Amino acid sequence: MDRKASLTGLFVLMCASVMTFTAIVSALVVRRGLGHDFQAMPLPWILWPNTAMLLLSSVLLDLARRQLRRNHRISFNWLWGAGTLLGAGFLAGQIVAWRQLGEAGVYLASNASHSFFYVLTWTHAAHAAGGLLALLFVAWKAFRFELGPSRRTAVEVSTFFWHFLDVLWLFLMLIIHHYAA
Amino acid sequence: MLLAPLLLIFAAAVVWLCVWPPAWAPLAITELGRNYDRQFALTLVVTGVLFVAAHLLLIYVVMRYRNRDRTVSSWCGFRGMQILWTVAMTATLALLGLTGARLWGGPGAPPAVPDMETIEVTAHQFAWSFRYAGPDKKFGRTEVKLIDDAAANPFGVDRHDPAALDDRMTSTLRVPVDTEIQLLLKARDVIHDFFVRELRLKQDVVPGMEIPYRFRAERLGVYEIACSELCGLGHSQMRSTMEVMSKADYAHWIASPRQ
Amino acid sequence: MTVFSRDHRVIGRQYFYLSLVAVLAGTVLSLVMRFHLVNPDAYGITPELYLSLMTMHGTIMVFFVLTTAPQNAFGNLILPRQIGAERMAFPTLNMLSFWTTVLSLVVMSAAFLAQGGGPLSGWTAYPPLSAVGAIAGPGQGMGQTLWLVSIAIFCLASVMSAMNFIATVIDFRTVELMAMPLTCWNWFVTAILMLLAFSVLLPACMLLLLDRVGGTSFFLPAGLLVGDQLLTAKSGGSPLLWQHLFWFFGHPEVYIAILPGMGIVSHVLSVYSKRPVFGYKAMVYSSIAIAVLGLLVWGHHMFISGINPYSTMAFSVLTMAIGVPSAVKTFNWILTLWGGQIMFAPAMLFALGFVSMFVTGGMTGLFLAQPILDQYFHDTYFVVAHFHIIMAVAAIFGIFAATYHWAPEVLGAAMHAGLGKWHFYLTFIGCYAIFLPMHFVGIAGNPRRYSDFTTFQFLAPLMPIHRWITWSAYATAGAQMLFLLNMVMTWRKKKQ
Repeated sequence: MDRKASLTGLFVLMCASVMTFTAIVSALVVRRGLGHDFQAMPLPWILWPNTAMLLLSSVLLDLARRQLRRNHRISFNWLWGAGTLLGAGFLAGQIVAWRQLGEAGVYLASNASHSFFYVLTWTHAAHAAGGLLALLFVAWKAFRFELGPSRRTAVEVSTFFWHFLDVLWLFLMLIIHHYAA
Repeated sequence: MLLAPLLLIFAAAVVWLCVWPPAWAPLAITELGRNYDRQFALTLVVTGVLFVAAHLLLIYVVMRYRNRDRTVSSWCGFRGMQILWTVAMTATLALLGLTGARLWGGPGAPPAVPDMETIEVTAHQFAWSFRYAGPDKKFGRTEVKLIDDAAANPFGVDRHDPAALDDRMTSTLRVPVDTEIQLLLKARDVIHDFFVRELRLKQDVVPGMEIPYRFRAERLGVYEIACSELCGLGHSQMRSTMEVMSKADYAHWIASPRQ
Repeated sequence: MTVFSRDHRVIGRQYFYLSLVAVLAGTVLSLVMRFHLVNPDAYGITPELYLSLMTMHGTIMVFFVLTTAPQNAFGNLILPRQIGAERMAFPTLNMLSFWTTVLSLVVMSAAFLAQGGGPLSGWTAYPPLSAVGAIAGPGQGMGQTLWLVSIAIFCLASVMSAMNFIATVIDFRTVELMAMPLTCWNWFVTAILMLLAFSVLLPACMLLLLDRVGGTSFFLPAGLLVGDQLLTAKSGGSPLLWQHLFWFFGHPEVYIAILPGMGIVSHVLSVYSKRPVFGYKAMVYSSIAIAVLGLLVWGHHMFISGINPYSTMAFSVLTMAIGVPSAVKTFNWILTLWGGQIMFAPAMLFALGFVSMFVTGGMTGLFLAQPILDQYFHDTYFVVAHFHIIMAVAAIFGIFAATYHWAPEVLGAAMHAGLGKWHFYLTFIGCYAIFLPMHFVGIAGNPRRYSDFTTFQFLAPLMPIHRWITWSAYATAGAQMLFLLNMVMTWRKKKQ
């Protein structure tokens, strides 16, 4: 009952996130149609390796989850650790991307398209930061070999949330490319 | 057992208030206004019937079924009962909505006509300003940087523009009677709202937008203009007047030299 | 019983007392407002103070009373028991959502007391007034920023609460959906609305905050001249965008405020007339219909805002459509009583009062749903009367009915019935005395959010009505002492 409830809760949270991003993207679409001052945005190259890192981390985390189901706790620890590291790497990469944009003169307030880029990527990063905390919590429990069957729900919930962040990120890349770049 | 008589008294009070003179809106001075009054009356009748019927039913059940030693009925309605009143209510509301829709033309209603008298209106914290194109029927160029309330230039008119020479600016609105008028509503700072009760029409004035407001007044008189969208601490002070003058008086006023 | 308890009954009571504190504060604010309106020169209440009182009144009542008590207080107390569950799905999240709400209230109080004054842009916070900062007026500096932060925090608390309610109903229930009590159905539907609405308000507040402190122009067009300051750094934004985002939240919000009350009324009418609720399925479907339609009608707050006439028509049709499931509910409530054995306990009286008020408020809604009529009524006291009858009276009556009925859970013992009946009669008469004449003041064209009525000639003949309204407000507020007295008596009874 608790496991099912956790998955329901995750689904509900994902609906809330979808609504939030939908609101921001609608605002973007409306705003773009309003003024003719929508300048294209130069996208920092690091976004591509970042995306790859995020997707790879998801793959590793999912492999880990499957290993845990067969009770291979050592494999789980390696895979989960790697996945979490890559996840942290994604967030670090985002910070680098923002720095690079700042150096190129692309600030929050410099143009509407820039504003939306920052708002979208910050919001995604905030979600990712929360997700990373969950991954770290699971990693901590795993390295102390305290991931008993009753704790498996945490693994599933954090993995599925991380996959959700992937999908969200791909969608955001699409939007940014189409509307802002 | 107070509830039933209470509900009855209050229902009667509502009916009385509806016919009490001070409760009514002032006389409408346009055709749209008269359409409004008709639709208001129709809505009042429909909602009045529903209101009274619902309360009479409520009073009846409350009185009839007060606690006495009697078996509780297990009646749960006849087949299709829910469908019946759902359909009835849908039909009633659809009719009401359709009649209202037919009379409504949108915020710019009536539609634009070629010979409209166009007047520019600017709303700002906390006053209204009006600009007339003058005999040349052309508005002079404006620029935000030239706005200077102290120098009586709330529109920022470029005084070097020849078309601006005969533009008149006032703080009250004057319009000729029986003429299609178009006000071009603009706001300088925050959202305001242009409202004249006798026209039965109000329109938000939004910065960044120029919104037309059209009417044809049929009665001479002076009517108050009240800002109707919260615009800051002076919102309740933002008053002006609209004077509906005869066509001759208006033409004379437009042609007379600016002070 | 610790303060950070994860027991849903404790959390439910905590929410109840939070709302009680909020409603007392909000009522005091409204009494000061009403006093000022009929005595504009007394006590130096400046226009900016009046408007900041008004902003706080609306904000506190809508968020901390009506979004909190009907759903979070009574839902936490009663839902698990009614679906056969031992607890809510996420006890820790539940505790966190309560304390996040407390944090939001603390920040809101700070907003009111901020340097420069509390915000004066109303609970709707329309930009540019709310976006350009202190140059737009007193209170629009730090006060407005803190207000936005407080609301953003409240959004987080609401999403947490929604997660809890939805997961509890879906996964912890021991009865089939179509056998679930109507109270639970309405708490469930309300939680879904909360989820969808608050997750849109949050980014809206973020964008407005960025316009204020981040130099962006989401809602600010070019060429704004505020005071004598030309805002050159802003361009291309739209004030209407905020209105769309806000009202996409704002309309479901009012259904969030009323739906739990409707469920409670169905329950109370049934219990005190010894009859099952008439038309259970119709009641479930109408709740769902109201919620779905409620997500589609936000434009009816914007009929005269400058949106295009075709959208206006679409919103009007959908708004009229909400009248249908609302009427279905009313018929079913009345027929629940038919053939019953009615006991006039205070809870029942308030439930009956709810039905009356809901009918009245619904009827005035039909005026406002038509654009041709709204063109006159928008931003007049007619609108104020409409939403107060539904929210400030009917929804509150739902809370009273729930409190009297479930007093043993909420307060620990049953409440005194005689006092409760007096409370009802005085409040019922008082509320109609306050809000009925307000409609007529609106019909006469009296604009809302005015800090005083002395500037306009057409407002002068309406002052006697305003004085009547103010007297009735004070009398009705006084009558609430009976309720507070009753509560205190009940606590002491429980301690014995």
